[in-house]
Amino acid sequence: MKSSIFENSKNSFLDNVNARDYVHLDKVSAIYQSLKSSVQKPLKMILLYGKPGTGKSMFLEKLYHDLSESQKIYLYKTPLLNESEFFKTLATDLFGISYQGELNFTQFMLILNDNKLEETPVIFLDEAQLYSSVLMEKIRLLSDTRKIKFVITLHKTNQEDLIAKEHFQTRIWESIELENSSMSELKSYIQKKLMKTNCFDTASMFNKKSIKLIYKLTKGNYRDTNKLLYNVFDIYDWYYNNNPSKINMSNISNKIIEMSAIYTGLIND
Amino acid sequence: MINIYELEKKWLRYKIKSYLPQIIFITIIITISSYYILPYSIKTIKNIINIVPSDILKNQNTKTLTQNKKIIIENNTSIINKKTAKDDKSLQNIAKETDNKIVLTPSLNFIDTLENTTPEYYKKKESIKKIVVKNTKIIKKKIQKQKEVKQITIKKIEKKSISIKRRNNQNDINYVIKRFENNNDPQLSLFLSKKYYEMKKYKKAYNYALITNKIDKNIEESWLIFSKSLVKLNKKNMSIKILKRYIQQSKSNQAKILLNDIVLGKFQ
Repeated sequence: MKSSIFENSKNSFLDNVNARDYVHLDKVSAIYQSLKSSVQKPLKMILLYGKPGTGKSMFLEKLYHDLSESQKIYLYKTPLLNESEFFKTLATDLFGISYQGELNFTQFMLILNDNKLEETPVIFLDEAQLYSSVLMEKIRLLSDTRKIKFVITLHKTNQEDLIAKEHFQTRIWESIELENSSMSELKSYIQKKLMKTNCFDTASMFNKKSIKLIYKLTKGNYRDTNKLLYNVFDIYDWYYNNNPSKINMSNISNKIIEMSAIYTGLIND
Repeated sequence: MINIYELEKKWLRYKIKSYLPQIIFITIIITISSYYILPYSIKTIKNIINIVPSDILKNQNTKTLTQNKKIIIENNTSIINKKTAKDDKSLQNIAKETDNKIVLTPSLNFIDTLENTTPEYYKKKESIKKIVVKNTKIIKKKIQKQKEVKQITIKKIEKKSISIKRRNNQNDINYVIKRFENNNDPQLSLFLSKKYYEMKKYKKAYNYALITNKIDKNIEESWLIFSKSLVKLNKKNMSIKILKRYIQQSKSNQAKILLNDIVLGKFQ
């Protein structure tokens, strides 16, 4: 049934951070390879930063997925804002010790010194801009021991740049910036994403004109593109079921893209 | 669930909004252009109306005039019959009214204005024609004058050139002789012998060739003119002897050719 095509196409743009959904693009792949090699180097800290929706979390997820089998890697997707909870989680993951009461930084340092680690574990901290500056300072001190390595992701805003400057400037060995895609990258991103779910018909519906409009609306931001196209296919699905004469199956209609942009808030009506 | 109908309405509003600046811009341009173009177009229409042949207008006007008069007369008679001089004043008023009506008949003044105003284009043409005729006349006169002047000048130049030629030859030779006397340049004496040979003054040519040869024996032309002049002076044998002696010295081809010509009688 044709409606299932739009349904599948819609689902392929669900805003999930899953390593299986990772799309290989030339520029992104190059950055990914450099990040992968940086993780394997004896560095204290690696900073991954960029505007929201540029794929930082996806990078981290993909890296975790690829390296977790060969290396001791722990991914913390949601920030552990409570200091005690953070150190307790670390102690459990690294040493298999679970604490009932409070665990502060000094106590955790004692544990770290008492227990020897076979290899340096890598801790992935997503959304690190949400951690308090006190906790960030303690994370920095932990990385200075060279017993734990950290890979952190940050949103690139003025305030978050400040955090980066204060806590990591002198310690970060590798910093990688992620940017929005170009128009050609966006086209291959959309088509590859659709082809991954075997939606070849809808992938061929995107022409230069529609890609140009999508790029204009999203500025190449992956998250915005996902949101926009999810709703585009949702609208298509509705038309297909209720008023099929109104849609053209050979090309993606700019009207529907604009309708989706209004719905998602990319256009203020 | 997306409300598509509501979304379509929103999209329509958005489209209108997005095209609004363009629509406003176009309407402004149209209004501005119409403001400037309309008065001009009305003028042109008026002009076209004015160009309608005056004869037709005249005929139409005369027709309407007679019709009006007839109507007025008919009105007058009917009024007179009806009221039969009830009131002299009222009759006077009617007469006044009829007078007024005649006064209100279409004015023919515009015909005069037409005659005065319309044919600007033709006037221009006529004036241009006149100017062209005048100009052609002036040009023709000028050309004739120029031709006359040219003829006069050519004649003058021809006369002058002839006199100069004659003088030149004489002057040149005298001037060259003077120079030769001063510096004894063999090139000058050679030039003089050549000139005199051309002028068929073979004795002088022989003398200057001999002088040149005395100054410089290696100048071939002096030998050739010397022997040629001898032939012209009926001293063919002497000329052959001299040429043979020169050929022995120089082995000149030109001298050989000349000798051959003299011996065979080709050069006389």
